[in-house]
Amino acid sequence: MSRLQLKEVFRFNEYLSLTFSRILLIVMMTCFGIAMIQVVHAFSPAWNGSFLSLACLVISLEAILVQNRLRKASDLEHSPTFYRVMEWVVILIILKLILYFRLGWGTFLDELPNWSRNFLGSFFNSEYLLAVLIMAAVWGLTLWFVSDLEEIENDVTLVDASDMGGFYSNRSAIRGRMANRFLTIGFMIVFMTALFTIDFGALVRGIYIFNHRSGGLNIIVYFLAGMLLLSQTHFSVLRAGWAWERIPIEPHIARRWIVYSLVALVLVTGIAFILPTSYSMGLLATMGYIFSLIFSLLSGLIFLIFTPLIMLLGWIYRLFGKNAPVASMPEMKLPEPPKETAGRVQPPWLEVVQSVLFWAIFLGVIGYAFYQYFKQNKDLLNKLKQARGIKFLVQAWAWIKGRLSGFNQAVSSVIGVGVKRLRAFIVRSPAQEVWNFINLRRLSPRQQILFFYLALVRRGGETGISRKPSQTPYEYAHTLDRSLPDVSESVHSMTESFIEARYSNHLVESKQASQAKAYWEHIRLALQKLRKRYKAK
Amino acid sequence: MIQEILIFLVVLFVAAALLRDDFAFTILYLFAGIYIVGRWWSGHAIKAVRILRDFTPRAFLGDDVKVHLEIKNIGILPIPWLRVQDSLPIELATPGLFKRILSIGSRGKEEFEYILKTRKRGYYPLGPLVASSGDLFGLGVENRLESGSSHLTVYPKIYILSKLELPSRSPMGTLRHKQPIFEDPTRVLSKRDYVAGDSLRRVDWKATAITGRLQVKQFEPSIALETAIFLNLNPEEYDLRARFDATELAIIIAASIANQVIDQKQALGMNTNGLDPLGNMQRFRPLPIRRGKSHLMQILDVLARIEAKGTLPFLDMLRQEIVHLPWGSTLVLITGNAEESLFDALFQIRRSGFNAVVILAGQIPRTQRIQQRAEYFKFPFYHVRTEFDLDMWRS
Repeated sequence: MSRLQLKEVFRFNEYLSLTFSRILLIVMMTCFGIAMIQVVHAFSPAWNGSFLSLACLVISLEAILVQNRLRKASDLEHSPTFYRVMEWVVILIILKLILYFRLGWGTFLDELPNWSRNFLGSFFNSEYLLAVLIMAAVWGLTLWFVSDLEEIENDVTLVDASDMGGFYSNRSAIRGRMANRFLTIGFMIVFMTALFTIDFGALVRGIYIFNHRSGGLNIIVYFLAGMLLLSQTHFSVLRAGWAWERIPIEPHIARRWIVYSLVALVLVTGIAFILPTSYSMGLLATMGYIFSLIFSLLSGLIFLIFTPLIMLLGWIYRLFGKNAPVASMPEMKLPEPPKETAGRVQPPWLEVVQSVLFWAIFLGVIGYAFYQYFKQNKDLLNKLKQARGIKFLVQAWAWIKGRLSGFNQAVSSVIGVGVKRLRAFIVRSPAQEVWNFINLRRLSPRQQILFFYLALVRRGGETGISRKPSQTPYEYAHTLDRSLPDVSESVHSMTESFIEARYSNHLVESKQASQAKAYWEHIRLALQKLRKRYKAK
Repeated sequence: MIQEILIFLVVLFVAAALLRDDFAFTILYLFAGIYIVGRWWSGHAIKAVRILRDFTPRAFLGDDVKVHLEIKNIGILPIPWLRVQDSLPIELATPGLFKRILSIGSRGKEEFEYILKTRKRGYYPLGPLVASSGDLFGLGVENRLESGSSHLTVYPKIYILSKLELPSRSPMGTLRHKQPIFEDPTRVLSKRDYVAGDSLRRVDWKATAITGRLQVKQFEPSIALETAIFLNLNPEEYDLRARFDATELAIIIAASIANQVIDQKQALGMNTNGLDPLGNMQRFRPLPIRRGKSHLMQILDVLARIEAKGTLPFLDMLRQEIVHLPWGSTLVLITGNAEESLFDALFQIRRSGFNAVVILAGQIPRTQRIQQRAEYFKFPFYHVRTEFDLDMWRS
């Protein structure tokens, strides 16, 4: 691939990736704007800013487009700051017009005379100011992200830059910066929307009341779009390395990247929505229920293991004329599921399953986090192990682990022996197994040859030419030779085939197996004749 | 990145616990899900990658070797990105790496082809081919897969030495000879009238009956040329200034002579003190005297991969191996220098019934003295300074 073609492929992939990233940014910022509107609405229920949702989308799009125009400073007649000021004047006017459109033109006519007296006070009223603040936040954040996105583009330069010294790409750092921003904004949204679920009226009276959260879809969409953006920035970081090394890439890789990341996210979102998010039963109650359930099962199992012993004891007792001890199955009473702490209309078993699942995931995540942390900081772990209290705990754990593994081994060996005996009881005799269950077609060529030779030995034995245990295959072939001189060649060839199949490592072909079969057919007929002759005598 | 996300999740979790907000768990599941799915996907996808490298494993100098690479995804999971890097010998390809970034769909495959220019004889490893892939979100580590390496043998340059004549004392071969002592009764040359003293065994009775005169058969003298090449690849025994070129030239001479001798349907063996990179840099095992094209390929294989890093003195090797050669064999000694001791040993060898030819390879000072010694002992002696000097044996 020539450098020109390489650049073309990189340019196409970059274009696709950045376009998708910008769309994601618009989605993210719109969701952020909606969240801000929700927060303001929760703070001041009289203010209704739902009409601003679309405005958030438009202003985010506008910020990206204008930024794109302003990049080419040489094409501008004035400085970029001048254009920015003009841009904001237009935004403020349009926003005001939207507000008037919503409130009715009468409001505009009412306010108009006040402009000459107190312009700032009447024009920038509180409702308008809130809307402007939200728009400004959306606009500013969009610009911030877009400027970072601009920094992670231009793969084509990197393709050429590998020839130049001292040129480097810091896409990884930019990606980290963007990720931090995305997470911080995300946290703020979640925190603020959660904060406004508190009933502040009740809080003033000293009572904590948490209202049920309404909505939240925009937050989920924000995080999904953010993750997709992270995926695209990861692609950009990788692309920088590939461009630097001038590795030819496939033209459709960006398209596939988008599709696969969307598929992964849809899958994960589906799972996330299924998984429980409540912990109404509490950790201890759930754990207690699980332990009692395990205990009941164990006692039942122990009873089953000891039943034969008790029966044997009963039999011995009866021999001495005494009453046998009565063995009865312990009652398998399943403990009642713990009661819910919050009022919910759900079947109890589903509640139990959900709680178990929830706590398993929760504890699993915590355990994994600790595991990873200590894996990274092995020195700290070693120091902790040496601490007095923890040392005792570690020793205790080692002791329990040792005992458990010993117990585990003992149980496995007992079960293994039992299974072996059971199999020996169930499985038929080897002779039956060999002759009843072997399907020649399923055998490998090597196994087929062995099968034919064993058949020869068996039939030979039945005819009176049995193989002595001390005889080698060649010696046995000589014995057969004497009784079956007509098929001497087949006997020797069969023996050779058997030895090759039995002791060689190389591949035995099916052609050899079919030859062995032909030899065996000759020998079988000869053996049959011999038997008939013996019978006639 | 993963650290930032972990911190975010911990802070989020604490805040959610304080505010009794279950919604945070959905976010937690999303991040955990992305991390788990990403790792699982990339881990499983790379396991389903199968790499096949196909090429002709032997080539002559100057050939273009096409290497066909097939990268297959036998799994259902598509591979979003896969970096493939095949290491190539720098002598055959510049740069010494073949790199590609691929995206392979479910049960898909990609095929590539690159060409290796065989510019130097040798035994070259191709690969290992390293394939690496990772998750789409950059949260996990990259997974790597390494396929084994294969080898390409590039034979040394071979000149057709049709004028090459090597002495032999082995009668009854397939090569014509001038001395009637080597007459071959299976090769009837002509018939003539009987003269007194002719052996009755030579009388051709059929021809006698036809002509009515006693006719005797005349046989063509022939020899069997059983040749053993002794190639010196002990760098210490070559002139320091021309060591590299001279050893390479010696290998070319050996390959060309081997080709010529086998082409004449004669038997050939080879002994060298060079080292075998395939056999843990041990000395090559001598190749016994055999005939046939397959034997030539075996010799050329040796000459392709041999390395001039031997430590065994040439004379010691000669003394060790001479005992295994049949009587009458012709020894072709290709070396970078010929000391007095070598000629003394050769004199003894000739007395044992062998022929010897001495070929010096490369630029050597004081050749005249060596030539005088060779003439004194009546050994055929040749000095090949460069490849052009081989023209003396070419038609």
